Amino acid sequence: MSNIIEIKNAVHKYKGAGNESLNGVSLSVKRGETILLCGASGSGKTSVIRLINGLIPHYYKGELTGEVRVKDIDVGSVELYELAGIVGTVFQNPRSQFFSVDTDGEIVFGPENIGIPPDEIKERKNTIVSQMDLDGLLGRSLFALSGGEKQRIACASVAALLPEIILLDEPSSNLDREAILKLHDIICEWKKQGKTIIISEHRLWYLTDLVDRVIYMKDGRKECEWTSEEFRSLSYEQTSTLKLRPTRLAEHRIDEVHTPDDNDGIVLKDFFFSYQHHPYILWKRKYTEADGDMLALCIPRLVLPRGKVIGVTGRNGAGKSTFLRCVCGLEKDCTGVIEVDGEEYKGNRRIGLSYMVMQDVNHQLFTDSVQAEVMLSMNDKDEEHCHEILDSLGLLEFKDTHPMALSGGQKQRVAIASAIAAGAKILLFDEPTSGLDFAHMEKVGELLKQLAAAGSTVLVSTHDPELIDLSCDYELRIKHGRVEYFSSLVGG
Amino acid sequence: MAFLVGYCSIIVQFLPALITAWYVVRTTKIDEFISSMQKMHVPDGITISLAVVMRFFPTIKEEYCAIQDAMKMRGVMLAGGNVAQMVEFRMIPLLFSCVNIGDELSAAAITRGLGGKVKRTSVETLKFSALDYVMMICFTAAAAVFVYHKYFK
Repeated sequence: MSNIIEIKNAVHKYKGAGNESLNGVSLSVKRGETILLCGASGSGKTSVIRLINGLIPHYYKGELTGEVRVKDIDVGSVELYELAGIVGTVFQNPRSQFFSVDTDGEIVFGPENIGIPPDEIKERKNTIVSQMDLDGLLGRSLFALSGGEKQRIACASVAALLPEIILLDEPSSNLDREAILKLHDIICEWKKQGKTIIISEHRLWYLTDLVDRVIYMKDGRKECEWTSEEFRSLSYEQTSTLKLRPTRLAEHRIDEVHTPDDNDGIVLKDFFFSYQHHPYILWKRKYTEADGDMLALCIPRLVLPRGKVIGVTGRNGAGKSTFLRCVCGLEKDCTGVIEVDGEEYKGNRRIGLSYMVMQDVNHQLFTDSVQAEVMLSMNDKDEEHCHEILDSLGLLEFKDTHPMALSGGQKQRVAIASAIAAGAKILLFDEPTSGLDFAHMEKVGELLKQLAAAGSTVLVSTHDPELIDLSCDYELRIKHGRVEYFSSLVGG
Repeated sequence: MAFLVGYCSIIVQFLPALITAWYVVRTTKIDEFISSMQKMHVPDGITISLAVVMRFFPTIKEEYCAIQDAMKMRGVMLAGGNVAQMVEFRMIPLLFSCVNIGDELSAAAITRGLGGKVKRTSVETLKFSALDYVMMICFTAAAAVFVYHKYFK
């Protein structure tokens, strides 16, 4: 049995890039193997995936030498659509890999493209729907699905092409724990069907029982290779020096249920909100606790300790984002009142009090230089103060750079700088570490602690137990828009 | 007064077309759209670009809302009354994220065989029914009467 994938000494450089993204990678994969590619951001994991599905060299132009053969086909010399029935790819961002707007259309999209007869497509669709347990998701708009549901549809639409090789490029980045376990089951099923699977991933814990071989990439090279036993036995110290996330999930270290203390904290009162509206003619009726199940958020009273990092956890759709949006005043129908130092902030006044760093930070950078970006938030336009803030975040050397030319982490820090400049007392972070490697996650964790030490109250919504472990003092668990528990963490 | 009549007649003449376009975009699945265009033998290049445009409307809306939120938080909704900046602050992030999404979207579509030389099939079977023919005859008749009376009489 020959190898199904054979990469020989591939060197690749993206057009316009300074360094090689791949620097002599060789890889042979046997039929039916499951392989994990891990390594820090920019180590060339994604480029290897693109090499196999043909996006390099057909879509992402650049210089490529070396040989890539998939099922004895030279990838460079065939058209991309000819690979469609052989190699399937699940991408990182569920938002941007859909071509249809409804779930049914998405599953049949691939087979339609390669000209399978309609009856056979329907049959394939039914098989896949029952295999992956997708009945509840059929006939829905893709825009109304949660991240985990979107990713399951993405897997189904790839599986519908019946590829022998399935590639997954950081598939769990936007998923919660339960959704990741579902993804694990899907991969497990594919493995049983004898498909060849290659996964590029930062989150390692859910893959330990699935992979046959693990390849660690560094600077565009294959640095080392582990068998699954060796991989499982890697200790926390070993993985963290390699800039990898741990292979085992940290145990929860809940200390005690936090008892609210009014004097020293930020008090949130009457936070009720729903996406459904009461019918009204002239006056909107305010939401109250009596609305019960209709409420997407129901927090009658909560005291947040000041100058601490609070991790907001919960499943996808539990109300974490709704909570953050209400705290920073984006949902103007939310009734909540925030009390700081005996002063009450209501309605639009909440906006100045808090600032949210969004998951897609590109949405909140408006101007053409870092300095202008920070000055935009300042009322008195004090250039010196602006430089101080930039300096404290290590951004001073970039003050004249265009924000869009920065890396993801730097953009995040620019957004934080403008929040500090605006004088926000509460800083909110929506999933700041999704898709980051361990080293970058550690940096974010440090930054959160630093911000809290400077006196801000930091609320961070996250699915990463590692981040909670690294930086959070408290955990606020949200379920159905209600506080499930609020507790301090040991040693945080 | 003449201006007002002018504006009103523009609204009256264009609104039906806009409403129809909106209705088409809202109610047509992309799948149906592609296969109907194919039945009309429209070239693939045009079909696919139009399909991408249709796919993009909801995305643009989603991105735009997120940007609006970000502006609200910064308190720059009105950009101090500077209209040029008001537009700039909305358009620049929107363009950046749309370009990124478009790029990833095409990559994902290509890996699933879009744009191949094989003739595309479709699970949606589209056919003219009796009602379609009746409607077509009605509208053609109405258009013929209108054109005849306006230009030939």
